[in-house]
Amino acid sequence: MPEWALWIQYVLNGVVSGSTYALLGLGLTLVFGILWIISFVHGEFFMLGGFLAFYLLSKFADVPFLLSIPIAMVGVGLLGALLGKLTINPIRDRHWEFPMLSTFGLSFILLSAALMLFGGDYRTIPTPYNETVFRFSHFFLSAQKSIVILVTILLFLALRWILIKTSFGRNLRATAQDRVGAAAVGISSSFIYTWTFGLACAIAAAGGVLVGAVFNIDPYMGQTGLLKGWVVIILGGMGNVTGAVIGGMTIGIVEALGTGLLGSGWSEAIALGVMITILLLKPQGLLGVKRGM
Amino acid sequence: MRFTLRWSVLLLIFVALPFIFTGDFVRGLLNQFLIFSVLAVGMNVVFGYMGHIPFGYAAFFGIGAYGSALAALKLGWPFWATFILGAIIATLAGFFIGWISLKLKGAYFAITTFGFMAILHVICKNWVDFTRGPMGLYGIPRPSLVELIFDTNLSYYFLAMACLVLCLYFADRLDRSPVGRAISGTRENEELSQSIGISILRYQLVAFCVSSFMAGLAGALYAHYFRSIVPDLMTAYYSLIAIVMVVVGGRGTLFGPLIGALIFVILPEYFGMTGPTRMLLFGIVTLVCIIGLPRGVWPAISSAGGFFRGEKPV
Repeated sequence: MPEWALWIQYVLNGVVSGSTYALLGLGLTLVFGILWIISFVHGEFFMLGGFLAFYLLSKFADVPFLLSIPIAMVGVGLLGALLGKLTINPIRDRHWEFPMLSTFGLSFILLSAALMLFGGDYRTIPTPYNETVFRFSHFFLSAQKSIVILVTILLFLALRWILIKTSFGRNLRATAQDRVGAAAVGISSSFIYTWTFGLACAIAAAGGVLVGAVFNIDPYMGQTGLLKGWVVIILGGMGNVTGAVIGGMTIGIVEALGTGLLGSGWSEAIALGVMITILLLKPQGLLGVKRGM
Repeated sequence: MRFTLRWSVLLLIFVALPFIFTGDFVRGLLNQFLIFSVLAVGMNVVFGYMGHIPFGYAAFFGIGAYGSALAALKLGWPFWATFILGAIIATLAGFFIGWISLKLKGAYFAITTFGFMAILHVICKNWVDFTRGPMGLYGIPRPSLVELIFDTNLSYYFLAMACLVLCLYFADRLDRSPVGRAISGTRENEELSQSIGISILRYQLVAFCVSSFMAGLAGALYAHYFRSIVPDLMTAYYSLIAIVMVVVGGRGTLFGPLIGALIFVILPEYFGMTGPTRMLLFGIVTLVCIIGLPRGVWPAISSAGGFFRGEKPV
């Protein structure tokens, strides 16, 4: 294998991990862009998605892996909508710090519940697709990793479709532009808050399942995942859906190359360095529009 | 008059506490309470008085702990020097990080400081030659001054108490000084403060440095009390518990952070909670306070006709 092929392999792996970052970023950017909430609990739903799929697939052997993704999305999405309704809805009109602090509390609760229920071990979601490996001249990509990339693209397109074409999406965008105005024409803020939060959680859950099948899951994965999600949406522009995908891919590739150059311990610092630089030079992100906070 | 009365009551309570609760275990808890109070008082300077959320606050806690522990272990410095060194390194880091991050507002400020903390955490974990990486530092000596060794929970209590009272006094003086008024002014209305000639960046930087000094001091106290530290001191967990202590206790009040620290140290022990259940309790208390008691416990107590009236409203 020539030297350059190794680097292209790094980029390919970067796209795979970048896809999962993009899925985290999509939900975060939705919650921030539409609800104006900085969510700290988002990573926990990512983790719960992974664990839901893990228990589903290890308890019921005849459930196909691809079916576990929508099941985890629906389950975690409903849980997210419920928790959002209970903890965020009552305080949505207060200063933005209050919903954010309430997501802290929720994150503590979910993380500790996961630690108590699942234990702290690392687990891998059983999947039949890790054995099949595609080979393109010098590069390799397992079927599972191609599924990660494909599902990410599908979810991104689906989310775009929801936001642009459906009436729910139009209501979301109207609320994002002007909450009071949207409420005045009959769009229920309470409904939008509950289900946008649920939708964001569902997307995160899909990310958790995909991460669990390629790498592994543990209760703390939400914490590291959240950090990556933040880096992604800062890079792509907060509230920008396309930006989240581009940001995710960029971070994935930069990290993979950084790991190749410096070793895995420092790769996290590279992503963070990129984030701080972007925040200082172009706080609205690469594709974002400027807004007050 | 009220001012001196308030401080003498506070001092009296503090001095009396370890003699009321004489068990060694409870005295240990009181020590933890004091250490986390210092952390929360520092957080209150930025979060309460200045109105910014520094997620990266635990960075200064960790820097203080590591600075002080390394000076004690590698250089063999006496404790007062290592405490001051830890706090001063934390202040310098605070100056640098604040100087960069304070140009951003709100959520962006919060996330930038968070990024710096995460970078420091990575450095601390990977620079094994200097910090011993994830293995952490242990065997940090208990502080001693000539013949006075702070090796029991009781003697350490008075050391920590001195630090806390100094920090509290300083936070109070800062809040009442013209500088403090300028800082509160920028919290209420930045444009207006700027228009009457207050240099926002400069005053906020002062507050940020003061708060990182206190966090560094708390870190040094922590390191010499628990005698072993790990890089995980610089993770969001410690920032979050400091924020939550301030929110639960009463944001922007002088004694609120103490109440918050008291709740968060004593309550889990009272229920015999460890590990995950402790976090569960933190989460529930936080949610209940945010939704039901948004101004915190202390304003609720003092507005209920308390003796310590006259705090600044949140």
